Amino acid sequence: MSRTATVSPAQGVTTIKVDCLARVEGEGALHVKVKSGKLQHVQLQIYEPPRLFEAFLRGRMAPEAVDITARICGICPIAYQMSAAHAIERAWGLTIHPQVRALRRLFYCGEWIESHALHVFCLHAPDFLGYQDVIEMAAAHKTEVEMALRLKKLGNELVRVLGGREIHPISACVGGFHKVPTKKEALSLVDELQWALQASEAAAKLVATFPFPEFNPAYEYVSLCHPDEYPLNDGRIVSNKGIDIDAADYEDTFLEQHVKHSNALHSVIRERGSYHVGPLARYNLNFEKLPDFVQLLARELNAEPPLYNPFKSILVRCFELMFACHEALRIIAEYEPPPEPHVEAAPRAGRGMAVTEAPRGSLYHRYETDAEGRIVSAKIVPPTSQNLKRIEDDLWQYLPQILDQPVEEITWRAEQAIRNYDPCISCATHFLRVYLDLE
Amino acid sequence: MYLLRYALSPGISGFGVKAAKDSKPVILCLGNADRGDDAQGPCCADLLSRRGIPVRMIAGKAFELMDYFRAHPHVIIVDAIVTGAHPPGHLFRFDGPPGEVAAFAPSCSTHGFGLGEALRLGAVLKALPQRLTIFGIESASFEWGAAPSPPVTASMESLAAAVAAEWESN
Repeated sequence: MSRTATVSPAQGVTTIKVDCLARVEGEGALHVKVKSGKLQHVQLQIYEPPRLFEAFLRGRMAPEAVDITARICGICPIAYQMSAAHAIERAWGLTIHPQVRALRRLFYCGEWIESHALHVFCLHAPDFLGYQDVIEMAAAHKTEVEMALRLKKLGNELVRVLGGREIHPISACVGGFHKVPTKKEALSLVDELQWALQASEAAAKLVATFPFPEFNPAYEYVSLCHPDEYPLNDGRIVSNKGIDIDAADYEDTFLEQHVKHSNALHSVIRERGSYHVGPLARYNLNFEKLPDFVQLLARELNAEPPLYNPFKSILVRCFELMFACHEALRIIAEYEPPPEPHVEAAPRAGRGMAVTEAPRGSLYHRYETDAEGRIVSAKIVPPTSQNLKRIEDDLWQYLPQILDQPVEEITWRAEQAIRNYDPCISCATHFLRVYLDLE
Repeated sequence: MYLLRYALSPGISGFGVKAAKDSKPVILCLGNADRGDDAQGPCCADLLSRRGIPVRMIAGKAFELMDYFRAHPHVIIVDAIVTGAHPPGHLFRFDGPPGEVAAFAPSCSTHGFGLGEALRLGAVLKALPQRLTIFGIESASFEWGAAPSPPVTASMESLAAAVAAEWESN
């Protein structure tokens, strides 16, 4: 990451540019303008090229969506696979075997572990500890970085065992999996998961000591909510302000809007505005479904809900790491391979919608198929586009609190506030430029 | 588009091939197949695979390099090179103590954490392989959706041949 600051007192303008920010995934720029000490302008400009996935899914056989949409993201391909599979299964009236359902949760645990470990230690922790990046941080925090890499490797291994390979896995399909692991293969993960559970707890205790800026917006949190489980693949869509709907009604409640400065659409709740998806939302709406020892630790660390400080999302990711390790161990202990790895899909005309919980938040898919099973229309709403307007709203609220700080500090905090959301603007390019104009 | 077309190809997917025996170097090909000259890694992987040489593709997850650094005494890396000191198409081979190679490796990944960062993190963590060899072609363009530039395309077979010779001689 490089920073350059040019100060032109004659014009009364200060411009700060941060080029090649490594710790945000995607291609975008933040423009901030301050005049006479007041915030005038905040825009998160997303100029990454359109991906056009929804368009080129049309005409493909619906089961192909599971593999094609996995290509949208290298970090959360399982989320795309799961939302696609569930939506098509709903369109075609398929019911999966309970052990396949459990395996999908296990699959998702792998993705959460690798994604959260990466974000907590390698992308976000340097902000709190005052380092430019994980390389600089590693010199003083070797143990923690080693722990992160080991956690990430475990997450990848879980994905490989279930999905056939770590990146863009190939085993998931409509109706289940092409191939499921043996009991022995699943048990091979137990020792490392037990270590990971302890490591995640240690991480939470460490992260809880970080200095957190005071900032508590009155978010509308949105996530899946299941009566018995911390949500991964299943549940109703709920919010802390009254939403309680099935995925089939998603588009009646949420609206994607085009804004001039962004190639990514902004999602809003109809007639209400921005909302917040991701770990903080899941945590606040599902706290009582976390394992008892996670709830206990959260209380010990004074982090029980309601928790509105987005900077504490890094701590919640640690709690979710603990949950994912515990849940994976539970599923493996109870695992018996299903009689068939998947139920056969009978193509038919239909329309199905599903939401699952990607590491970064709720991911919505909707497919309409013809009688032969070809995709007639597709809609995909990733968590980052749901959070983009909320990120801008956070900056509108947060930046006025720190405008008396040095320019470098304002810029740093603005970036950190964006990273609270672990935005995945694209899996392909990673640039963020911050332009801060002070008049 | 390349990765979509070849998603299930056993030879180049990177995780469908068996790991090289410990006595042989592991070959890691880096790059985005749909971004101009950055495709030289995937293209080289394809060519090597046709020769029956096992390769691993690393696309967008440079942190995974750390696992290979720890597991293999000799790592061969293929990635796009930009020095500005040579004409596009110039073939490079860097071989030496990993610390020196790490110091050379550029920080020009579009992912923010690329080969250069992985090598520097490996150096900090004292987790570099005993030997590191890097191959690449001086690049001209990384335009979205573009094919490799003509000079890079012209050097692609030479790149694959050089990497194959390195692998076979070890």
